[in-house]
Amino acid sequence: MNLENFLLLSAILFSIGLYAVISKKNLIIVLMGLELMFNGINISAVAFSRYITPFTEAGFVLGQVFALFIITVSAAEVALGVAIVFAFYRNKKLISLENANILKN
Amino acid sequence: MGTIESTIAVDVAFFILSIIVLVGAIGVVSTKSVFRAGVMLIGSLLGVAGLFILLRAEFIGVVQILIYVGAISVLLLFGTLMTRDVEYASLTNNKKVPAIVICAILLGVFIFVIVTSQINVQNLSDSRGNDAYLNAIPFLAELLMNDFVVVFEIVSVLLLTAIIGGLMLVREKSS
Repeated sequence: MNLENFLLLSAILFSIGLYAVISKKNLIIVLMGLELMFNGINISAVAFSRYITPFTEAGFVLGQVFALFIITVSAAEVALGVAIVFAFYRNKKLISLENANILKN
Repeated sequence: MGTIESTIAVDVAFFILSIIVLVGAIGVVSTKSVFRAGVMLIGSLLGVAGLFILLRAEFIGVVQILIYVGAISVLLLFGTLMTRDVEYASLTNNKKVPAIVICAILLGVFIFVIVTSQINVQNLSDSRGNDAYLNAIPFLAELLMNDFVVVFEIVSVLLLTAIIGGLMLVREKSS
């Protein structure tokens, strides 16, 4: 199993998530796309630490530490995102991003 | 490019897991129903957890299942159920074709860089690797508690701040 396989899978996953973030109207689908992008980054981080520096004690788990911090930050991001979705839904009764223009005027 | 653990079983497992991950991800962006997109997202995240276990990062795989599948996906599905409304479907805006073009160009750049770059891969199939670092958790704990302890504390404060901010956002206004 080559490193390139994992990197290609991570790149494809990142691009699909980016497509969801750019083109979807629904806020929850946008959050799901963000999760897909985070997962692509995590795959590449763990694969790099497994393949590039596997014989030093710090290098073997360095990418895993990165992945742990990324997972934690994405958990915080989803908690805030869903809170914003709820607040927005309570104000507007919609969760479409095209109606998110409260700060416009 | 060195190959590691080139057994048939690892190749087949990687193939199956990547099919699961990609089908789930494409299902997230292609289904009309938001709830089905959430279920597809759970499948994709489980596939990513399997990939972590395949990469000998068992702790990250378990953390992935606990946090992503157990907490984040449930939170997103809960949000879906709480906000069902007239715009229930997962529609795209009017920038669909430019979005596809941008993502395709970015993916092409990624693939070009990955294929053409010379990455110095260590060969894991020699005598040292497989047994010595089978259990990575002690090294992970040592790194988290020694070198990255400041980042660890900052991330915990960030999580606390995010939770308090989320509670403030969804709090009922008591008159």
